Amino acid sequence: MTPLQKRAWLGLGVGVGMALAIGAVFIARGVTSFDDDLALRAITYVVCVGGLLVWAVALRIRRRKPGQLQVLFDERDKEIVRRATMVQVWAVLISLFIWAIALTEAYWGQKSIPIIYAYVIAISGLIVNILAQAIGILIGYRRSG
Amino acid sequence: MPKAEISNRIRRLRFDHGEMTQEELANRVGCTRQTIIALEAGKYVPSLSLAFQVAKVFGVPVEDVFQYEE
Repeated sequence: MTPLQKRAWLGLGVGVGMALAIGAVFIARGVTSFDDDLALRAITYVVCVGGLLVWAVALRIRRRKPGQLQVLFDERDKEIVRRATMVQVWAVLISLFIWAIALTEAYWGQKSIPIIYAYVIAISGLIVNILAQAIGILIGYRRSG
Repeated sequence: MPKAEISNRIRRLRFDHGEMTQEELANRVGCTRQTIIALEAGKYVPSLSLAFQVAKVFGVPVEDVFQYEE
């Protein structure tokens, strides 16, 4: 397994973990309680920033092991990342359109959408981004051996 | 447009060169062992640069390593 594949599995774990954690927090406390619950907001921020930091650290892959001949990242990995980026872009775009349609239809009568959804959309965008990249990379490796 | 395939003789050439391991070839051309595995399985078509590097390691012209088939 290449370092990039390991990173993709980590990304998948972080993405699923963040989705479950955020989902559990919102189910336990209720989405609208975010407005007046500072603790819930703090938990959400920590989960988001923590997940983002783990992902950012995992993104760092050296081309070679220091002082060794063994190559860790080559042209095939680069090509797989390039294709995975397209999967990411489309997944995030589709998720944004789904949010836009769902919220518009759900709150059409009220003519306004609760402010909490700005955060929910940002969080979901981040999670979709991480998951889509990981899945794109894993599919890329499956297709190209 | 007819589908073109790039085949290669890397596995054969490795064995002809003192049973060179995939790891050794990968280190010499600057790629991962997984890429050599994918190349030998015909699942990955290398860049021109990598193709020439592989040919250089075996001391043969690039067309002796990679064949273009329509």
